[in-house]
Amino acid sequence: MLTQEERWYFDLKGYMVVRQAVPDEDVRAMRKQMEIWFEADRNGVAFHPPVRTNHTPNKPWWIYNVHYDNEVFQRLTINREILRVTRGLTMNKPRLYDVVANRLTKETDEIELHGGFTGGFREPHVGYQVANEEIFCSFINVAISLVDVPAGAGFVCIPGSHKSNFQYPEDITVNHGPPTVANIAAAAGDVIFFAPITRHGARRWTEDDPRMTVFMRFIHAAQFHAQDDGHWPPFEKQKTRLSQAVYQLEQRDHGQRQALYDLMAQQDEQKGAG
Amino acid sequence: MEMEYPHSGIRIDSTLTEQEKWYFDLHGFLVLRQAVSPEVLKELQDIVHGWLGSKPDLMPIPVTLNHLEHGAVIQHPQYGHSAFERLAQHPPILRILMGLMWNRPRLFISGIQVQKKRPADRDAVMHKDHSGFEFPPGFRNPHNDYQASGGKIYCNFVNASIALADVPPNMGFACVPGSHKSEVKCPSTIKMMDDDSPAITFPLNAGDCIIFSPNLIHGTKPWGADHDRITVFNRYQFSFYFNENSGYPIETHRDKISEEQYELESVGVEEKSVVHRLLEAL
Repeated sequence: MLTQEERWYFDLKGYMVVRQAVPDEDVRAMRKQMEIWFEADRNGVAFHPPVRTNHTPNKPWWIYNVHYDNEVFQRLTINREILRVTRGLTMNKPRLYDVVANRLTKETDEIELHGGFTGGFREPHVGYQVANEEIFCSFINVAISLVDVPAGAGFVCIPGSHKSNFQYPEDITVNHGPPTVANIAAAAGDVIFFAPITRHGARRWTEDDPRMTVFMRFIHAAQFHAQDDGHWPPFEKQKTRLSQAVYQLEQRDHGQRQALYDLMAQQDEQKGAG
Repeated sequence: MEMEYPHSGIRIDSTLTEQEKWYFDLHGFLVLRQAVSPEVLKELQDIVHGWLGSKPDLMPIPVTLNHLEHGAVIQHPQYGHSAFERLAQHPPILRILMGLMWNRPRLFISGIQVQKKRPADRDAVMHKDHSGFEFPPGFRNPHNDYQASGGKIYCNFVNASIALADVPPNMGFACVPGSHKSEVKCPSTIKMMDDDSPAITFPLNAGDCIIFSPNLIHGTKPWGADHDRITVFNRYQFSFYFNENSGYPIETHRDKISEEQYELESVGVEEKSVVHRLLEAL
């Protein structure tokens, strides 16, 4: 599912980018919907659970579980390129457990570097292994940019830190330069995949128009959720708002996810034909 | 904390700072700015320029000079002038080497490379050093190993590259940071000279030093400056390691180097004098 270049690059850096993975019309539709939700939230409109929002001063505005309320966001969760990469990193068993979008402006604080190895034992829920030229990454973050992100702003990470053997120094910030800190410019529709153990953050936004990003988090579908506490999908009461394939993508895998398997097979055929 | 291993006699109290360990583990290299003082640098430059102006058969044996199409190579300079012996033992550089190989460095080859201006070669390739036997992908080459455990690094092959001339951006030594820990075979499509190449270069001032694992994917970008690139490459391996390169010390010219240098170039179990002295000083 992953090319040799993609496997080599992800192993080396702990992240990779797929350019133009999301169709322009979907990006535009999501951007428009984000503004509608943002205005609604400002006006005190209540959202239908499990959709909810969160905003504190100088921090990004967040909206959760958007795919339960909008079919374009739901389509994004099963985007062929996103599933191809997450399948390739999870031994073909991705489980979607978080979908959240944010909107931020020049007034929003930078997002400090976080994640990364702190020494001692390794957290099994954010595992990273390679064997026989194949990668197993048990937890993957996916960031889909809905706007163009110029160089100097947006996502940063410490490439290679997913394999660090030593505690990161605290004095390295999002504003350090390469090679220690990499800043990834992105166009709307580009997707950044990264292991959360890769230390990462975001620089302060520099543009007049707001930055909007959708984050999806995947774990290996056969493993237990580190925080399986009822706050994460699938939301059984609202499951009828999802397609069967998306509902199954959110479930642990007991061999029961036939609709998802069928979708993946269909996507593989389309990819082969394409 | 000092760790004692009585069966091997190793003291591996690390001479690296925590930040140096993290950085080398992450990238596979460290850059020491102004590792060599201006006075020492001037002396080294004068010696090299003198040799380059000499005829190969007039070089002080066993030092060799070979002129190439776009440069020159001088081998075994420490046997021709003690300034290069002092460079091989230079405490700021030796401290890093000691920290990377459990305080058991052995200098196993030393040379000076001179690069002259030449047209860019888009097909210039990168490589990992393999010391004469290339291991298949998926295996770790014991000749060029990298491990980290218990807050220590074991890197049994390290190259110290000391610039004797300024290096402008986008030329000279290039490497792919982090590739010393790559576990997936590098695709043949990865090129050093491509615009989106993951290889980086290092603008340097004369006197700066890059210490790197030759298990990094690395190469040399074509030289584009008017002045020559002059670099000393001192390669060290773990001193307990078997002598897979039998060149050093050169027994027939043992009288050209000091006892301490002879020891530094020898395979050995014991803590070497230069190492002991530096450990005591630290």
